Amino acid sequence: MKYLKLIIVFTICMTVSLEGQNSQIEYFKPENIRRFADYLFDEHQYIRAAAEYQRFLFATDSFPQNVDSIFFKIALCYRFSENYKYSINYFKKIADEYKRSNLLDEAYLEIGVCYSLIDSFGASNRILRSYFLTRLTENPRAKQLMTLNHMQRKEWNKARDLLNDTSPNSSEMFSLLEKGENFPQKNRFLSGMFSAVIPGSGKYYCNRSMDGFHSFVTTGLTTWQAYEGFKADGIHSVKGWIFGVLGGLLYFGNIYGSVVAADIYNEEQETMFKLSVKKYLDENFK
Amino acid sequence: MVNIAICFLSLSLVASREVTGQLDFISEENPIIGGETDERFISLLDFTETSEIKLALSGLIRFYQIYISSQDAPSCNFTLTCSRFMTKAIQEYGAVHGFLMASDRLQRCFGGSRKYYPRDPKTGYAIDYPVEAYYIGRSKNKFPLPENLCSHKGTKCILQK
Repeated sequence: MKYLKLIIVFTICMTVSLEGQNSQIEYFKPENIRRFADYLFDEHQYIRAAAEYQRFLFATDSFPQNVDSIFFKIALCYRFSENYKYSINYFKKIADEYKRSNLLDEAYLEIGVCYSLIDSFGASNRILRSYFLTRLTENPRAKQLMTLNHMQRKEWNKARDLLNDTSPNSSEMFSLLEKGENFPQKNRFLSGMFSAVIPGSGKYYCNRSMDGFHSFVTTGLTTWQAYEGFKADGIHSVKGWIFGVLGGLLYFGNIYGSVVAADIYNEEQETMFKLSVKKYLDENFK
Repeated sequence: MVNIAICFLSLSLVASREVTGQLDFISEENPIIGGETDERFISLLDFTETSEIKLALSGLIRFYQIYISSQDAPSCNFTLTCSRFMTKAIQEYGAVHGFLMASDRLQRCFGGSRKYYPRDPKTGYAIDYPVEAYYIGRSKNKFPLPENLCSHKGTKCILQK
């Protein structure tokens, strides 16, 4: 009886095991590789997805009909994983070799986006203009991208010419353009002059009020100490000379720093604007 | 006179090297900081420097770092310390610019100015722009400000309104 039970259990296990082996998924079948690549793409694992799409192309006996869509997916994978150079090459492959592809417009647009993302705004505009030429009105996204490129290059008039009320998100684009045109600038000469008249005021002018206050106090105190020293012991005062030299260094250092602070302020504003345009690009051209 | 001063400084540096060698060993064998060298305090004393003035001034700053500054707890607010900033400024832009840049930096180095700079999450010190950013004749295209530092919270910017 005991042996009979064992035989039954053994038979059931063997049957299940053999059944499992018969219905095993063929992981290396091209369709399954493609499915797995799509899954990885949806899971945002772009580098792995790109490798799987490439494996799919190798696994098929002949390239499938829609091979351009596979190249497009690989290019997208590289774009989303910030490997823009490779991405551009794949999009260019579609643009050069698959002229009748439905994805041609998209490929050119993506090339433009990739160039924008690597700060080659001129190259981006050149490629968009050369391809879309007269069809810009039909493709508002290309037009929008060109406008953003002009903004990055501070070509406000060109950006304004391209922008009109029919553009998608036109109100956002207009507000971005206005910010770019009017972002505050500080004059470095004025900043230096302010600090020369009242130490620290140049820093205050450049929105660094705490720095300005600190400079005013340190320069004022050392100069006052120098004055006290010279007043007490005349020109031979050691205290007067020590504090005098120190005060002079602080005074001129503050003027120097105020001029630099104006430059830094201007560049910070510009960088922040460029970053906000880039952020807009990231959000709207996914 | 200048040569004697340079010799004196060089000898003092050689003598201090043995001490710092031991400290390096202790630092490296520490499981917490595990061999990481603290970039804040490394001096940029360049013995291939040909300008005597630059070498003497860098030596004086090194002397200050080893014998004076080391006697007290770290008090500089920035992650590239003021003495290191000054050494680098003198080496790259000469004595006049170096002194003016360092003077400006010292006036920015106090507790109240911390809000203008991002913090290093590891050490808590304020991260300043690199020395090149504070040179008056800086070319924007050659040395652009690092984007990640520009976009920190402390920057007053119209875009954050």
